[in-house]
Amino acid sequence: MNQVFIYKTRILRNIYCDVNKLACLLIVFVAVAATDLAAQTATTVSMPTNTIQKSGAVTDSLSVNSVYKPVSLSSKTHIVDWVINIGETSIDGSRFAFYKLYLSSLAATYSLFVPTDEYFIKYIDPIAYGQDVQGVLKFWYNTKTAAVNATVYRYNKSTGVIGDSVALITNSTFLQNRLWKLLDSHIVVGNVESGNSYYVSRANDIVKIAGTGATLNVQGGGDLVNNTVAHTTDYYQQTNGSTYFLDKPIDTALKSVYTILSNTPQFQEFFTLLNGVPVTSVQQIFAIQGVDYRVKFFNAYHYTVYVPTNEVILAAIANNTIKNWATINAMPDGASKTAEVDKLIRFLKYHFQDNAVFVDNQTVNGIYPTAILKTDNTVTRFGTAKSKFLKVGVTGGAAGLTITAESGVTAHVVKSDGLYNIIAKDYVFARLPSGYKNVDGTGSVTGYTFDTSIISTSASAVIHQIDNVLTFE
Amino acid sequence: MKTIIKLLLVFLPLAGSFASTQDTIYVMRSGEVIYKKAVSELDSISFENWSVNRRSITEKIATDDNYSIFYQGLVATGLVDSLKADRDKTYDFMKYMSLLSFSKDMGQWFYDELPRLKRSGFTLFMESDSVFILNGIKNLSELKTYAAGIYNAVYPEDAAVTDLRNRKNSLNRFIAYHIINKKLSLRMLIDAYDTDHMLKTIDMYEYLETFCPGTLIEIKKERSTNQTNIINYVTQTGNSVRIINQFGAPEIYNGYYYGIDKPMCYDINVLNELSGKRLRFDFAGFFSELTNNNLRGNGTINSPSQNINYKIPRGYLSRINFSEQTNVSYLTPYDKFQDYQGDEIVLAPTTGKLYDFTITTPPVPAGTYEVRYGHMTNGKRGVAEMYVDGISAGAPVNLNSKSTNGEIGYEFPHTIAADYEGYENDKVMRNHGYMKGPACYKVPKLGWTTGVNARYSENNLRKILGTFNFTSAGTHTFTVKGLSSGEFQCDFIEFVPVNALENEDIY
Repeated sequence: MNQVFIYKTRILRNIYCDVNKLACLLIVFVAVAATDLAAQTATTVSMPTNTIQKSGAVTDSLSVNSVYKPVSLSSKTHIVDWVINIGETSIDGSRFAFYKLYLSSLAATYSLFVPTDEYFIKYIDPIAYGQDVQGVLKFWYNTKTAAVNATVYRYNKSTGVIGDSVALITNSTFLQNRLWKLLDSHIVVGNVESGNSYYVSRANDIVKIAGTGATLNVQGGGDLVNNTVAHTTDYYQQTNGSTYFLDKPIDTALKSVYTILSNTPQFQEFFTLLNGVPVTSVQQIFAIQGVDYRVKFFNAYHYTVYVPTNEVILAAIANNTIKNWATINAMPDGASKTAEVDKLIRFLKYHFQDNAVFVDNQTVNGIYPTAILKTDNTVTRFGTAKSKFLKVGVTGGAAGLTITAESGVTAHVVKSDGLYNIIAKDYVFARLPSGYKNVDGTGSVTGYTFDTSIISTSASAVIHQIDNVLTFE
Repeated sequence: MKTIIKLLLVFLPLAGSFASTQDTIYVMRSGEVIYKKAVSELDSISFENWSVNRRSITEKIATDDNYSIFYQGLVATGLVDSLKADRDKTYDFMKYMSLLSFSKDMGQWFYDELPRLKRSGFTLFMESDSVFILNGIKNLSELKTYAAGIYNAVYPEDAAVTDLRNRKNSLNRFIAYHIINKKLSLRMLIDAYDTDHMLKTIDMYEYLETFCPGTLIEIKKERSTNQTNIINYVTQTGNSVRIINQFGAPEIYNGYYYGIDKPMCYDINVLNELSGKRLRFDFAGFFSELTNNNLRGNGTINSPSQNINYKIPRGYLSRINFSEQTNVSYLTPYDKFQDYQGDEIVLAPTTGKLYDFTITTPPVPAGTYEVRYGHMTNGKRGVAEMYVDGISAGAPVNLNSKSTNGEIGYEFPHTIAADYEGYENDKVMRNHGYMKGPACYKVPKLGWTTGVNARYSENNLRKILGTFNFTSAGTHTFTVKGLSSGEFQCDFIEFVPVNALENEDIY
């Protein structure tokens, strides 16, 4: 189409030079209008009504063989196509669909996972998951309104049984919030067939990959717990990555770090210390948020939590490396007690590292910041400066991981009990789950209706049991 | 003689009115024709103040016996021939009037202007003969030996280059390192950019690209000692170069030269100093044309006075290539801006189109750097792809996003008890590919933005473009392609050696 336009322009330019100027300007005008109209007609394919008007983009996303293109052309992906084309308005009034631009860009490589329409039948809503009445959403494409709606069903998280439908949600803000979060958890920047098993999605969710191409399988944190798998039904190799149509959405983890640690007996001693921070301290480990609790210093990112075995924790208490809360709480109030509180908190937070690292196929060899700020000028193993975050070094691969602390102490991931590569997810909602009514309208009389609930951000963490405590002094 | 010239200047306009029937306009000086132009080639006639005693910078240095050794070096290397340019006479601002949209009487907070001229200019830092003698250099031959001792250590691969006109020759490097392609008065070295925006407690640095390929001169303003124009301070030795004499306008029409107190070289110490620190460049500093044509460095305009928005014609700035759909503007320092040095470059698309441009940066030493670009968010920026040296800086970025959005995660320092200084939030933002604004500048007049300085402003961000390995010293390109409507704002760019990240401050 562009070539024709240019060709016409050349011919018209010659006419302009040779014949009456006004007449030829008119011809040019008509040709431009006709060409542009033709271009719009050719590229506008079942566009949802709430999407952008054609922008005249330098790179027309539909003309690029991007990971988005299979979604735009398939008759099975109306839901994801609608989500990708949700438009936003800039402050100057112009409209754009960010995800369409994002996925069409050749500046990055993507792995795009696309559940086809018939499989959006069981989205376990995270906010409902934390309420008295849980719910699942079935997303479906309403051809009359050319929009996606959600039917809400009761759900029992203990038995996994889906009950009756209780509501229909058409609130665009709610749908955009849930589906953009879902879309983010289905985009990995990079190639998921690079040899590893674990990857981090745009939503900072962790996905596990097995197989390649048309036989690739995907599991999210929730799938790993429930032993479910998303299988590839169609596979497309595109210019900027690969697109995988799936037979179910990837289920992200729903259990928080708090829940996993508190419910795992082998983590009990470490959890007791984490959960014992005095309420008067501003340096809390956990805060009431999300499904139940979240790690307070987590943000929209991915992390690793190293949990020493119960025996090692008890030994560290016995040899006075650390004091337990009972001992500290028994101290008289004053500077010494405050110092011990601070010391224990810093010890605990030193076991939280930015960046999720896995016992996985490819070699790990990196230095990562932890959650502890260095407050002095002492020289440390990794040369951490004052007012920067103390670090750990991590090496290893499929056989295991070795963690080296600033003090030089090393620890190894314990694989024998299978307590490694455990995936957790901490959510932040706009309000606590109790601040909304349940999916069936029951619950708090002062609560906001469920269809106004918003997932703000989330963080993912991978938890490994280790055979030593980590110290930085 | 002056009377004759004045008479000529008076009568020339009259002559011009009749000249339409004549072939040529002549300007004469001292009985000689110094300029002539066919009338048919003239659109207008304008006159500038000039003195019969005005000289080019090289003409002046040639007659200054105090700098004879340096001048001999200029001539021997051929660099003297590079300093003759004055004004691009093909540039006619009248051709670009269509770029102007906002006149002064429209009552906006700014009005559009065009650069009226396109001048070149130069600045030389030179050792006098007495300074050379103090350092054991009595003539050009000894200067050559001295230069070889310095530059062959830095560039051993070029030690065999004997052609003095070759830019890789050691004497050529020595001389070239003293030349800047900007006309910099003393205040224009750094003081002119110390606007009301800059915190007066934080040292300032300005970097000047020299004629020696891939090299910079650092100009420092040290607050604690109230000293300015400290050249190439080396932390390890405490040494620096200082200006002891200055020569320029009105006698010299295309530059300034300064006598310095000791030999100034891009030696190993200077190289190591610059290789180990954050190099922050104001975007306006990239373009010599803005300095040479008096667009940059004129202080802060205080509201309600109207700011000046210079519309930049295509081809005016040699260091930027932009598409026909891209409009480039330079906004001078304004008291309502929270920008580094108060000014900014804005690239906006024509209606319905998208911006697309490439800027060439000043050179940085070889090394591995984290590259960041500083800007202000205002929700008008659009979605864009960014590249450094043609290498993608990652997936497209929605520059409309507020900094407080979860994907960036800005939190105001001093608002979270558990993270009072905001260091934990710095880590969070870094994980998301961003940093807060530097704490070295502020908005003089609150209103459009807030905060005691840019670190405390949710509108000021640094986008981390990535870590890049530069195998050799030199310039680099920063390319931005708009994917959705919006304007792109350039405030500053930072090159930070990765080995300097750990000890980097918040300023």
